[in-house]
Amino acid sequence: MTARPNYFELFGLAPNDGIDLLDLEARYRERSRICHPDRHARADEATRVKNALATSELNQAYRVLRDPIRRAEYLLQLGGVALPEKAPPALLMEMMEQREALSEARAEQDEQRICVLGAEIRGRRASAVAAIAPALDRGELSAVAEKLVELRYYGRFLEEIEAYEEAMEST
Amino acid sequence: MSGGLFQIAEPGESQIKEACTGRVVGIDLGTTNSLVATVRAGTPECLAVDDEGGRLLPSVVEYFADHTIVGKRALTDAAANPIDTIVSVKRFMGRGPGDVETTRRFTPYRFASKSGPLIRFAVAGREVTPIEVSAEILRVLRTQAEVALGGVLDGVVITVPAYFDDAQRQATRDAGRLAGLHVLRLLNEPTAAALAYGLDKKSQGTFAVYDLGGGTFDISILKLEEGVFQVKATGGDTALGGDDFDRALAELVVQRSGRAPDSPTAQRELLDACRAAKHRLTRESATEILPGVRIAREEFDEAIAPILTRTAAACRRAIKDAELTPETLDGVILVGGATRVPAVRAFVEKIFKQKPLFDLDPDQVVALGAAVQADLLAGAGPQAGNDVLLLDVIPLSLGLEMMGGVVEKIIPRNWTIPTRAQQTFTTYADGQTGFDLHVVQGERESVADCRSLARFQLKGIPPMPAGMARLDVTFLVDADGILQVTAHEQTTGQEAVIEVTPSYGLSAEEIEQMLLDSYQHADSDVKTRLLIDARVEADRILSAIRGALVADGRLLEPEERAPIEQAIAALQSARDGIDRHAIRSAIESLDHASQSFAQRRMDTSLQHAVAGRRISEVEQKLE
Repeated sequence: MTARPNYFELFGLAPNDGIDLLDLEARYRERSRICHPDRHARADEATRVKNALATSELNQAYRVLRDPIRRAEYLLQLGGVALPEKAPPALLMEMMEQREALSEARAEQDEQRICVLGAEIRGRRASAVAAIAPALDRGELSAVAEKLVELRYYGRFLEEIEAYEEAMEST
Repeated sequence: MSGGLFQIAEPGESQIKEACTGRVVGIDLGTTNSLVATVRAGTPECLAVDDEGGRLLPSVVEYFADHTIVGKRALTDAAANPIDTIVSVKRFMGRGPGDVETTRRFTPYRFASKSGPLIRFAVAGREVTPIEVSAEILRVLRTQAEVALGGVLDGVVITVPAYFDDAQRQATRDAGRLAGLHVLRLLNEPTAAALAYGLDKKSQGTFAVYDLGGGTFDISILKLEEGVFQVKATGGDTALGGDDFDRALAELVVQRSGRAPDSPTAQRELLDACRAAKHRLTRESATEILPGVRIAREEFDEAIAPILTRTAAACRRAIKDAELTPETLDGVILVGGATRVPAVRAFVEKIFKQKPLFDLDPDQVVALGAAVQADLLAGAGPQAGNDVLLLDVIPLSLGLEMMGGVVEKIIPRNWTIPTRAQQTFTTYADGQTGFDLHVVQGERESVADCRSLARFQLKGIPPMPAGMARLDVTFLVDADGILQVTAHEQTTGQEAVIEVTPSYGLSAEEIEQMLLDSYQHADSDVKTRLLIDARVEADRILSAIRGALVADGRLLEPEERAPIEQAIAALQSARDGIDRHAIRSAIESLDHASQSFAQRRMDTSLQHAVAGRRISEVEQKLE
């Protein structure tokens, strides 16, 4: 198999280039214009499928690169660094407590408490995200990996909160 | 030939033939009205869909034992013939008999089945699916467009609500195929509207499109930059629209009068009266719906408030998904007839904290945008528009059913399409050669709360010990927002055979069968061509005789001229209709009325022509 270009290369970038979101978006538009199936509506079925696949790859690359967490995960993957299977025990314990608190609050429909829990984890997520870029700059991939594991737990927790908020809004 | 006689004196045949490189149109297949539009000389315009030149075709189909009527007349008949006349069929697309839509209040239809993947209406002694009903509407639009454009259509873009799920999209595409159309693309309605707006205004920036139609609600947030229309987020409700305003009014009327409609006819009449009252209430502060039942605008506003509140949640979610706040939006565009209601405008202003835009006709804007997209796809777009590209998203998350009825998301909502996801599965039994995947669409965690999309049965996995086979399954969502699944086994590279059983709608085989069965389809092709032929001939004759009257009108006494003028007017009006027999008979009448004029002209023209010419030449001319 020939090596597929990595997500950075798809946009004409190198992995250690910083990402400027506006520049990335302009590159995305420019490349979409070339491969989007709508630009080849008159082509035969095989070409259209090929373009759909190429565009879906470009869309995936864009989603990963513009998001600092996904981008860091992808960089680790490129660097051959696997994420630790388990979080540090202290974090695990803490998250378990938080989850318990959340499910209690949900059972009691204590909206205010849910809100407070959400705000706390959102704050911690923001500071973890902020710590990623400098660690990447210093090449400390294992530190980045730790932060990413932490973020996974926050992510799952916040997903639950968001699902709750959505359910509340639509009723 | 009558036309031939007149053409003797015609210097250079006047021809109305248009240079056509690909006849493509955009179709807005709406809940209440449908439209067809095309781009002419770089500008999109809606085409006439009836004999009076109207642009809106009521999406109403009336069934008889041996034929159907679509449009205005069917709408007029709806109250007298409520069971055989299908109104708002769009609300039933991609839905099953158990869905809420079939059990709504004031729904006069008779349903043929209580279970199964498809709703079937029992009409005029037969059963029809919503797909077939929609195909009837599309056939009329197609005929009108083909007549207007002077030939068979090469392709169409059909719009769908952005929040339509996979089954509803499939159903729409199938209806297009059944109507003999080559569907180039399904286009989301708010995106189409943005396209029409954006090109019109040459705008840049981030816009929200609030689209409240007859039966569906969509909210889309788009970023327009350098000709790329990128949808950032979309949301909505495919069972919420202006129809619900009518129902809310109906409830109010029933409450007030203390009398519920007791027959399908009475139900339809009540809904019709409420719809008309709703229209009046956009200008008037109060209106009488039934004798003695007067409703004030404030009461109407109050009745529809819960419906509007439902749209607010979707708006807030879409703004959040787009990672924006209402204040950062550059504009809010209103689309759909229901946005004419003053309370809707006020409500939108409140949610988005700015005055909405509605300078394009909210009924036409979607069809106009679809025409632009069709034109772009056909590659015949204007130079300036050639750089336009639409990047749309999938409205609902796609997931797989896992153990215990839990959903695992494979493609989250609002991902830009086309998009794909790959999952690897393994076998759990020795020698296992098949695999079942249940794909659902929705945001909830449990399968029961999501909408079942289809069951995919993978077959032909080479027999291996349990856990050895590695099956890569690719889920590709195409630019129409429709899912395709492919699978192959990693170690052997063997492609798996996939059988799809859609949860709602028709299987590929059923569609094929319907196409084969529909002789009507082939028949309507022929009919369209015959109609076009008749029109072209009528145009030729009209232009010839008008020319002749200008050139040689002096040969006629006023009382001789009058019947010719009458016959011309009659042919012109028949020509603008869609009855080819009427056109043919009007041609004959005109021929008859103008025979002596033609004879007299020929005599005169012969006298001129013979002078200085060989007789054979003259004879040739007369052939």
